[in-house]
Amino acid sequence: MNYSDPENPRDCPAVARMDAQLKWGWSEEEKGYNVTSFGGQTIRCRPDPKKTDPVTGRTIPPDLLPTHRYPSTATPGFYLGKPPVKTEDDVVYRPNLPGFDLAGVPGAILSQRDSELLISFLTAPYIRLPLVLAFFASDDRVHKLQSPKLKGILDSVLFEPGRYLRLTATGVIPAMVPTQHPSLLASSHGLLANELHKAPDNVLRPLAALLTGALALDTGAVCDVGGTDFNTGVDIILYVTRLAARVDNYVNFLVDHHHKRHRCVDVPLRDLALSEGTLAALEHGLAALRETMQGELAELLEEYLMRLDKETAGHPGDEKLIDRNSRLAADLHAHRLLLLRNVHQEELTPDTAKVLIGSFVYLTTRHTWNKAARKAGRLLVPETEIYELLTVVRRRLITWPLLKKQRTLDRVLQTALQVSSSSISTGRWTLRWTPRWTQRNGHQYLLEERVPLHFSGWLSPDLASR
Amino acid sequence: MSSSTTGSLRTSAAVLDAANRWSVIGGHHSVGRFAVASTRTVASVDQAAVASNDKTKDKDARADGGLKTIAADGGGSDDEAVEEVADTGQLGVEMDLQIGQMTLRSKHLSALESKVANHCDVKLIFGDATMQASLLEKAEHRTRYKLASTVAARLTCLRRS
Repeated sequence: MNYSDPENPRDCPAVARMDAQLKWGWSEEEKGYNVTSFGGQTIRCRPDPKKTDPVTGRTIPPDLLPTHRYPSTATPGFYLGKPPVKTEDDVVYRPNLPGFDLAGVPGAILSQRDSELLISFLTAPYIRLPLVLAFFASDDRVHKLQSPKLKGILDSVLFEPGRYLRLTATGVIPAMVPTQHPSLLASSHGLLANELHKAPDNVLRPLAALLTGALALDTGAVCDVGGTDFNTGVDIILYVTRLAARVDNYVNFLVDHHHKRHRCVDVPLRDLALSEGTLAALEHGLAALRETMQGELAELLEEYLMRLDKETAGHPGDEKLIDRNSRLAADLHAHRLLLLRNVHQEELTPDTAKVLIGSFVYLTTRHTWNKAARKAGRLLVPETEIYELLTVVRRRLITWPLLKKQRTLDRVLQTALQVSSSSISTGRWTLRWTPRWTQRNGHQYLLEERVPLHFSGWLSPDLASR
Repeated sequence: MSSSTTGSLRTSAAVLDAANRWSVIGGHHSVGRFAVASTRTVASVDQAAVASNDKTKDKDARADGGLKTIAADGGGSDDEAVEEVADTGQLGVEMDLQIGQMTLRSKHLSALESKVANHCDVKLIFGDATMQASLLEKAEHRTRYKLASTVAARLTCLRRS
């Protein structure tokens, strides 16, 4: 990893590997963690606010201080440039606001009114989460999420933790509006967890509306004619799928932690105890979310896989098409996995197990990892998220009692085998081939030489017949 | 069962699911590993054919060249426990649920490893197409892959011509 400023590559000289090790400690005085490294130097997770000018020795004014290397896209002025935007007034008096234009799409994605509304929300970090979520979920604005910049803003608003609430400030309520102590407008476990803890309906309702709106964007096609990637509608559907699955992770954690079902975290968490009303709202919202995700949405993803499979089967010699559809199928399989990350072991069914195992094996056999660009085959779901998902679900799967029953085991693994060995297959509707095993030499079990065509697409002939 | 010349069988999922008998691979280091370790015996098919005097089934059995074949409607019951097989290294198909990996006759089939697939020479020859490969041999300074795709087959044809 490169820690240096891109404009000043010698800012951080080469250091021995062990010198870069972070040493974590607890500061009783400051009631916070103290992290040291690089020979005892103080490490900051943001630019030094007291940085001095190396020539004059004076403190640099806040407006001229260097920013984060990767500043949040939810910063109000991120797409506006200078002067900095701090309050709503700074937005109102701007002559032009960004329209988040998209190459190939005529006109602005957001009107000036909507842009003003959105950027105004961003100026209030503590309360902007439900406002921004409701903004995209209302007035048919879900299709605005075709803009990668707007997706980035929504992701930042939802999943960036925001200002950390110090231990000493727990339970302290600001007395004035606006507060003289902005450090109180913070949360101990991130803004999303805070919002779900304080007012879950404000998150879960707009999210459900967003999901419903996204599903309505299905046009019946996975790609445009001659396209190399998903069409706009499917792209938004998959984005909202990822968004909903990640919020599901938060809600699931809170509910599991409350019921002491979480495998790793079983200690009380600061300022995160759920009341009966909050718990009921979370459970109800989660059930509604899961119903859509594992019902209509999962079926839609299966249907997309089915369409890709049908298209590939119709053009067996078209290698470009097979390559494209295999890449897209890998994305769809990754999204199917996201939908099932939080299924508890007692909720597992043979159908969900088939999807989990089949999609995993499909990715390990068909997807090339660590591709740098989307065009080269990088997944829409970060690969680290898939590894994390595998870590979470594999113990549930392996210790699943039904996997010790012959009939269930045969059904689940046979389907997974077929999904992973076909070019696109979904597992439910495209079970088209029964591999035939023959016994030879007493203990060897070999694949019969007659290999179906769609299987031989990825097995070289001599390997398949061996 | 082999009603299609293309091998594309459009039968129900229930029939296909009961095709292979999967077993647990035994041993402390094999938790989460499963393998196809046996097939349904032909006897059940033949007996059924004789009992019902069904010539079609008999014909199907003979068409399989005398090899042991699968009884489509056979299979374990919900009460039947899964058998355990030893890790002999000669298992047919193996599924490792710990890492989501399928192995066919001790050969791990996967998309070509990233560092190989992203190599400039590989990109120059094959482009950005996703390629499947089988790992044949791994030594300290050498890894041998066999490309298993139509790309590789096409390249072989080009070389021959």
